[in-house]
Amino acid sequence: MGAALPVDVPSSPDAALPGGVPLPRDVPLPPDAALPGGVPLPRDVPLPADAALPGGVPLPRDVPLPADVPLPAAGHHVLRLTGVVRRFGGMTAVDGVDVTLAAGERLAVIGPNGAGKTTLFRLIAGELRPDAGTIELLGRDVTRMHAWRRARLGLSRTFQVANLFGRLSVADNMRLAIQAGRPSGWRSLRPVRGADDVATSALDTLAQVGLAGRQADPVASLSHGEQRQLEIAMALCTRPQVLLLDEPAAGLSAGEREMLRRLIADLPRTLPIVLIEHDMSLVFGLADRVMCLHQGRPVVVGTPDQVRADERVQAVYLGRSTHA
Amino acid sequence: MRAVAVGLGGLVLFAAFSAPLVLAPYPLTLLSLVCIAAILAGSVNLLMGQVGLLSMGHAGISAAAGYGVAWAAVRDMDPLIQLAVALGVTLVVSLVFGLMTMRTNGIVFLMITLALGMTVNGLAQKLSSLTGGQNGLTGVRRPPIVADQGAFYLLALVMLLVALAVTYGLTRSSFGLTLRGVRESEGRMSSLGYPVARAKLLAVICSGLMAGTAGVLAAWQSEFMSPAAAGFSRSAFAVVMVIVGGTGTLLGPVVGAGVVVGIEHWLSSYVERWPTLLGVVLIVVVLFARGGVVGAVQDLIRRWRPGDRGGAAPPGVPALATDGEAVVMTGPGAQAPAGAGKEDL
Repeated sequence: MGAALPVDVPSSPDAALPGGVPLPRDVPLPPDAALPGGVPLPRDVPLPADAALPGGVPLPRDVPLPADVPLPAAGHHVLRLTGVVRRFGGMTAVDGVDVTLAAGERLAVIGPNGAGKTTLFRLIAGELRPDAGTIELLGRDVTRMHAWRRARLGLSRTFQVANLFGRLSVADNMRLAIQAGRPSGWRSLRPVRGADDVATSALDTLAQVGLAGRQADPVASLSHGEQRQLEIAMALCTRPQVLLLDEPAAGLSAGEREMLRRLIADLPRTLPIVLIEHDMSLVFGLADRVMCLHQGRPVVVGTPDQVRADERVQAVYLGRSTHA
Repeated sequence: MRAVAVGLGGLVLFAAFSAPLVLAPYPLTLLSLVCIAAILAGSVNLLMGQVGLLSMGHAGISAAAGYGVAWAAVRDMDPLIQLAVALGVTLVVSLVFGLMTMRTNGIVFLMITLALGMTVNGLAQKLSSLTGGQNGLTGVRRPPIVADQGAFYLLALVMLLVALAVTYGLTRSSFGLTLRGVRESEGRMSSLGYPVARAKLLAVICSGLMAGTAGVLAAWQSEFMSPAAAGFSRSAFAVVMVIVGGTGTLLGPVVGAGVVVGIEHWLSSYVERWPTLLGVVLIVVVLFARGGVVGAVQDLIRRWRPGDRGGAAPPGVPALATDGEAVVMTGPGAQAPAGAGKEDL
């Protein structure tokens, strides 16, 4: 006697009813199952608003995603650089850069003069070929792809020194940006019309960057800041999947800088951006993630706050000012 | 203003078409030469004005077409077959020009076209079984329908008008805008997604077809082909015509052709050192009228026209900006000197 009856002994997985019929397991609850008395089973009960963890700690709700965590959509990256190297003669301008850009992410590349920022950009845009490494854009290997084909895939860039069609009007500059992605062929022999007749989308974009009503002006007559605005308007007109901004604030006044910062901040959050910038204050307001380059190598990659606090970044920048 | 322009243009066209009724064969020959030179200069201008590419070898393309026609003509082939041969040769030569230059611009483009022009010249001398070598191809007969100089002049005039209409259409099209974009910034065009090399190749082929048209007409006009037609000086003269007339303007090449042919064939009977005279004209234009004769006339009109003082083009710009375009293409000033150039002869 004495020994208790065994309770809740798990049946062996191969246990069977007499006659070899398998035991019914994981039988789903029928949807019309009810408690005795016909009361329906409670389903999808909402959590009460004042529910708390033991000890009265409130439940964490709507926690902001840390900026350095890839967004959920980033199962694939819009841009991925793996071990990218570029040499000019004996100098290695970009020395083994690995970086990814997630969908909707804004990455800033900072670093002193000659750190390889613009070379990195030109490698991404396809104006230079890397000596080693691979570049993937929107899931395709574009390492050997020509710049104009990358642009057709949805890569759009602005230039450090405004690179516009100087002797053409603002409208013609916009037209060239708009018709870029379109199939050409015989349709390209149709006449283009006058300055007033730019597509409304182009007029909207011009207004968005603050150049409303300027479409008839020759580009050469625009101020430096206005040319930068036009640069961005044209880059947006190509309906980019990825936007590269090469020192958009270079040479701008404080007021123009602030306007440009707001312009970039107001771009759709779905548009991934890589931004090269010298001006750290501009970067820290805009970027989700910052990469600091020094002598072609990434020194630090992290959130703006991490990068700002990092001693190596300070050393890189201070080092520059001592040698300057 | 517009009415004046249309009136003047109509008058010039009327005079041009009625010339065979009143002029002797020699002046008609000169006018034919102006039309032919204007087509060749127009083909050079298409590249210079729109794409910003200076070709120093276009006489090579034009002469190749001429040899095509002459080769077929001395074998008594039908005029249509002559044209087909010329078209084939022109396409092949233009394709070679285009493929070899499509990744270049500026001075490199100039040097390669120069070399290709010299190559055509050299081949014309060496392939004597096809080209007759130094002696050239004699006994080329015009098609019977244009055997008369007056009829041939009308053919040349119509072909010039067709070339002008095609050029006008191209510059107004989005393809033309693409070419001007390439002229302004190739890097920007690539980064926008334009296949720049392909656009340049197409432009060179379009221009080559026009140069080939001039070459066919030139062979029929002189009823003779020799390597000199592909010489460097012919290519250089075409460029001079464009600069004197006005780079990037529709009618500039016509004016320039009038001036150069006038000096070469007409003034040369009075002035022995006519190339010097041509040089002086070129220097004066480059120093005092960067936009050529047509550009200078446009400037005058723009200054006189009331209420249009804002949009003055920056100096040295040969006017193909959007607001200038209407003036370039249809303005009265543009057509007046064209008439003047022809009437001088």
